[in-house]
Amino acid sequence: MNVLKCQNVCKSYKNFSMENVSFELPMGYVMGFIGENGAGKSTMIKMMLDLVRPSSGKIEVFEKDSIKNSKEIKEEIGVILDTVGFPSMFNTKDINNMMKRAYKNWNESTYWDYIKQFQLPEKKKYKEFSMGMKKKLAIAAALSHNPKLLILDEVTAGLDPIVRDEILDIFREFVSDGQHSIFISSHIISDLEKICDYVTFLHKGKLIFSMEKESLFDTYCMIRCAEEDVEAIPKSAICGIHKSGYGAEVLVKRKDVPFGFDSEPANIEEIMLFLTKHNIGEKI
Amino acid sequence: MHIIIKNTDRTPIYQQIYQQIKQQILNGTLQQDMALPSIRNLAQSLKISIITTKRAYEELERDGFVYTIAGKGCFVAKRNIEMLREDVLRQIEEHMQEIAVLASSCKLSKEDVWEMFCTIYEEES
Amino acid sequence: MKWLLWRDFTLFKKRGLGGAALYIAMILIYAVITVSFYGVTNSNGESLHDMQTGALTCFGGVNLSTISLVIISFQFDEKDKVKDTLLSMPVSINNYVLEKYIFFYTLLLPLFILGFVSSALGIYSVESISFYTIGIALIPLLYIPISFILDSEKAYLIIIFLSLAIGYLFTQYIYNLIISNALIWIILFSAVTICLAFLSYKASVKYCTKK
Repeated sequence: MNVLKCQNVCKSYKNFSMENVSFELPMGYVMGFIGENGAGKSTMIKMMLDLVRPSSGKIEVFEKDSIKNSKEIKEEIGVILDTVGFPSMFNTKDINNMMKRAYKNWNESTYWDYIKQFQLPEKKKYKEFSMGMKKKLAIAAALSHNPKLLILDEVTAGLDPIVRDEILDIFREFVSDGQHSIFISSHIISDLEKICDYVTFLHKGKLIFSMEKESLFDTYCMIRCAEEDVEAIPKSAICGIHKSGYGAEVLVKRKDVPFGFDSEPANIEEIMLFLTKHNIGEKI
Repeated sequence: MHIIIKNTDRTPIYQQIYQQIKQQILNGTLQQDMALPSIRNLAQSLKISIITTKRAYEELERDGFVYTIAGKGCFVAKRNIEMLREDVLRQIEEHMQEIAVLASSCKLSKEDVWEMFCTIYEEES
Repeated sequence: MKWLLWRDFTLFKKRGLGGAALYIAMILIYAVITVSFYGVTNSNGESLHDMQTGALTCFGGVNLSTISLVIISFQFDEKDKVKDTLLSMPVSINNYVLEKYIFFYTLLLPLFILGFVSSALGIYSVESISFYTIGIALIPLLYIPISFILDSEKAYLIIIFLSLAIGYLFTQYIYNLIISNALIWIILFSAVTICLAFLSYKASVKYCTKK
């Protein structure tokens, strides 16, 4: 079953347009959603939540229409948006009181366990929380109604490495039974690289790719060589190139590189950078 | 069972897992019909993604080192001589490929390499 | 939708002097003023019944302050950026919008009740209270969609300007023109208000997620 399925989603604004974005996330996996600022990631996430309506195309969550079944879908997803917004006057107790009224499956003991685990104060108001505490509270709130899917926008941004590690562990545990899935956007690619099974890359409103992380690593690799040696690499293999004046870094398609070139694995960040900023050949 | 993942290693993570499990099957640390940890648990413990672990297991199964029973998990397959031999042959081939690349980079001829090999072979045996 | 109402009222209570406490004080002041006009006459022996224009303007001031207090609730939400978070929880956009109207009108309810009580006591004529009630009822209908289309700050300024302008024009010029045929005009205004309510709700739903 696909927990998330986007089909030819388009959305146009005055200065921005998203064209024919299609991808799907099977149940039990984590999908990383990457792209530069303004690529349309938040718009895409808002469309999944029916906070923004697509101009055309269709989005299905749990195989249900995202617009028609919006309310019942939201009972089963945990959402954290990049602008976490709880009322500034509320403390953790008030938020519990609000959530238990909002969600049918709200589990108070789960919530308080997370509050304890994250060492969040019970009496302090939300507006007195630090950035890290706000994110942790949002995570506690997003996980305590037994959601089947988490939709997370920049959830690890602004957090220290120790907290990020702690949070990634929680997410790993969340998906470990194969029934729960995560859709996560982030600029901290190293976090995504650690956790995600699928990578979806949006650039200027267009989908560059959406595929298994492992096949992404199979498809691309890096060659680092002298600038004059770049000539020897077949043109068809080169996806992106960066010359420093002392040498060149080239992102290539592994299958088109003849035997004998000294290639090394490319990481997601390099793939992202070389397919956009240093891109040649394919028009993106 | 031990699995140590090195992030500095050039080999992909799935291959590191593949090789280490295979090694432990071949040297007998992992006995026949022993259950391997589930894909999702292993991924969680190693702090890597599920799909990476899944791929390592799939390759192990493809190469006959493990077998899967649907709903129960993954188990160590029977060790057979043929499998061992094939694996060693594959390793030799890989090393030879490296030799070929290195040799051509310093313009060493086939005969030179062969001579070097003969000397080493005699010393070893 | 109940949880949204719970949230709005809890926050209103929590704001204390900037919310529920001041609100209750205002309603009490309003009640005291209303009752204290009972039986009061001016130097010419006319009851206040004949001085509606001045008295209504005075009430307008109190009501405007009360309404401001309600509007502050919306402004706090905007500052806290809670809208997207709330909309990503189990509620439909229609209900999200509807809740705003319900919250607003619930807080206006004491004003309506006091208005009718004072007309029942004979302090004001039924006609003038009817016009006044319609006037107050119009405020959320204008404010809520404008706050979605622009923002709550601008909507607030627009509403203050509009209520003062309409209030002034109405009491100074229109009231005397239509008072002789009051019933027809009350029915007409009520009908317009109901139509406006429908349009206002539609516009709010449309613009709620547009920005």
